[in-house]
Amino acid sequence: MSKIIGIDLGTTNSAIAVMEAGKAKIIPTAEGKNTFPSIVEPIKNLVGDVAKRQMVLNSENTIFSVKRLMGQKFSGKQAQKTKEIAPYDIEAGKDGLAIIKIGGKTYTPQEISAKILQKAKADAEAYLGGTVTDAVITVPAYFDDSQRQATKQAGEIAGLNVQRIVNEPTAAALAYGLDKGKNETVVVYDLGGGTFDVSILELGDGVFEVKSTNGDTFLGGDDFDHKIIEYIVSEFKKENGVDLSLDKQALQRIKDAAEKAKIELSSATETEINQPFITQRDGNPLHLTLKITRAKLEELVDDLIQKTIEPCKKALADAKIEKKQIAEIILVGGMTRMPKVQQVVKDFFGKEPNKSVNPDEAVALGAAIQGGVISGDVKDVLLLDVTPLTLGIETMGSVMTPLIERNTTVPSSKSQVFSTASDNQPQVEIHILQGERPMAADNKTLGSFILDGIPAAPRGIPQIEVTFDIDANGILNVSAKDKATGKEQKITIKNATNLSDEEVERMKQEAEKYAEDDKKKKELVDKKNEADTLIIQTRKVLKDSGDKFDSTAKEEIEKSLSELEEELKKPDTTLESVDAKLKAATELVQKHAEALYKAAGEKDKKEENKSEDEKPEDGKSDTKTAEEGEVVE
Amino acid sequence: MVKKTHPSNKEIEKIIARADEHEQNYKRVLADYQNQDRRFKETQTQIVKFANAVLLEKILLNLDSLELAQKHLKDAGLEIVIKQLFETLKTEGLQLIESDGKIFDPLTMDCIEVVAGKKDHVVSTLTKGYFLFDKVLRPAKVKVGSGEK
Repeated sequence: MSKIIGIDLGTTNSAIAVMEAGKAKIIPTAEGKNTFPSIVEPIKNLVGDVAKRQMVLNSENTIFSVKRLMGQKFSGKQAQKTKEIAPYDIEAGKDGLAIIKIGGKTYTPQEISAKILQKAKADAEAYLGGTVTDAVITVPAYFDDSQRQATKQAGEIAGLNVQRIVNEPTAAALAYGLDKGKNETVVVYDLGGGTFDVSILELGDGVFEVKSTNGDTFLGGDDFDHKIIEYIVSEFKKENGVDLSLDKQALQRIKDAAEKAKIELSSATETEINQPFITQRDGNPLHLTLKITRAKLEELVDDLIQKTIEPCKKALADAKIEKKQIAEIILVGGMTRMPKVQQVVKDFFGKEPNKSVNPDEAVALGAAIQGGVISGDVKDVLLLDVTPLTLGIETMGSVMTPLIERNTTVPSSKSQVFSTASDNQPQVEIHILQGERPMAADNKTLGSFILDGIPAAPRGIPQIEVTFDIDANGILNVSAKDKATGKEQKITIKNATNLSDEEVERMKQEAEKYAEDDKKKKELVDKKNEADTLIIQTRKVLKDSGDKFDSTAKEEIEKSLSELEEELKKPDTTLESVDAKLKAATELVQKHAEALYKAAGEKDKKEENKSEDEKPEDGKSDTKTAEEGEVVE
Repeated sequence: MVKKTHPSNKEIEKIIARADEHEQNYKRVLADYQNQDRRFKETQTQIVKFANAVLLEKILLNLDSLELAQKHLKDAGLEIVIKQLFETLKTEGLQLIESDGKIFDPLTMDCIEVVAGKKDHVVSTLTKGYFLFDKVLRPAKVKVGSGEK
């Protein structure tokens, strides 16, 4: 069975989504965007951005907001109101239904919507690399039978098998993952490009019931833009005495700048509009520079936002529901990104709205999920868990070394080779940890075991392979194997992923809170480990080939090593003091080692320039080798 | 002795059905993965090619401003600066969309205003449009003739 795509057939913008690997995903349009304008030029067959670009030139042949006419009687209020704003001809057709007349030809709203759906189909096919025949299409909850029927017909004209017509708020609730479990009442607040809808849904056993809907079919993001444009024009006029609204070119630049400013003010508290050479006065150029604060923007659009409250009240009254019975408020539509809108919603319902899903994409994503349910994609594909926290082991210096990172999808397995920290170490302890903190002690211990019987060897030589294997049920198997002897030990930890949400949250927050301290601690340990390695390695070299150094050099090196060792033992030692001593010791060792190489090199030369790459390496203070906790493979 | 129990036919059928279901699921997930993998490779090349798009779009706003300034100042030095900047951007794959005097094409142009002039032809370009390699990075904003003299 081919994939069922979900289509959000919007008044101003449309979007497409599909289920992939058990998740709903937006399909980018051919133009590389996540949504496209619901605008159609039927004669030249232009849809989306391309149709929008020629709208000014070809306004009477370019159709927008066709959704407002779907299944509507020409004499109806909605059709009449659309006729007022639309530059294209709307007439009465068969059964008194509204039709569109363009270039002597008539089109039903279904045919125009079909063009939008055709583009959706074509873009989805290009993305999925195959034919798409089935779709789920969304409609507003208040759409009546004839409007739903018209939408279905539009799909059929576009060559799509419409598997289901889904209510937009229901789709949004699905996208927010609200279909699982409990019975609850949900409010969907949808403020889009051209319309505002509020719906009250009741969920129970995976069934959604629309209890009531309300809204304003002529209120949306475009109105917000106009307010900003008006403000910019009036400010400029005040300052320069020039009315920019008469200059179409200037107005276009202001329009772009206003939209940009609106978007920026959702994240920043202030933005500056800079449009140099916007116009001229007496042959001199004039520039537009204007600072807009978020507070100013909020003041400008306050009445628009307040206009959404009345419908919310009515919807509650119609559903006979009290505010306190509402379990969740979800936000849909690009305008809900505005902090003030979120604030007003919160103040009215007395509850923080849920904004975890991209509001432009929620409806299309929900439609795709519905499509997935129909095709069996959703039911059957295992919902795979992720590990909520990092899993790892303790290594030299009480450091937590992660093996399986947080948010890894399980089942998953990972191995890493570790070694010993000291010479002739007969056993290693595998201490299994869970958490985000760099120091072992700050994380949760899941278990530990000892692998013994490691043959005597210098530190860093034994190879202990540690494997973490976590299955789909969250059962963690940890094994440690000495590669030399094949000896193995293991432990099974149940419920490694099974932490309460609070516990996970607390651990994450702690990690964030102590990030700075932890970093410092970890740096000190790393530095100490580095120093430790230098001491051991250098002493080894001195022992093995001490005769190659003269006695003063030996003494000097030994002295600096002792000093470094002393420093490490001090309880109040700091990163800086260890670093200073370590640097001094390293330099000293390098200096003498160089002399040694030089001597050896000269000797080599005398011996007929032996192979260059066989120089002895062990005199160098290579601080990187054989640290417990490092991969030595 | 434990008596061996044989599963009933019904149970066997059930198990087979389960096995089939699992196979289907496995295939579906594998297909999703392979598609994802293919798309990942495609997007990877796209990302490398179009990584600069966002930055270029921002720089183009500055180029617009410089060109507007030049319109007023008509400074020979500034002319060189603008040319230099454009040449640099060109090496990154940027290309000018020829619009002045051409037939209006909504694929590469955005009509802002209709004015007197040759019908459906671009009378003047307000802001230049650009391709980034073979894609329209920004359509040209143009005034188009209405057919009236």
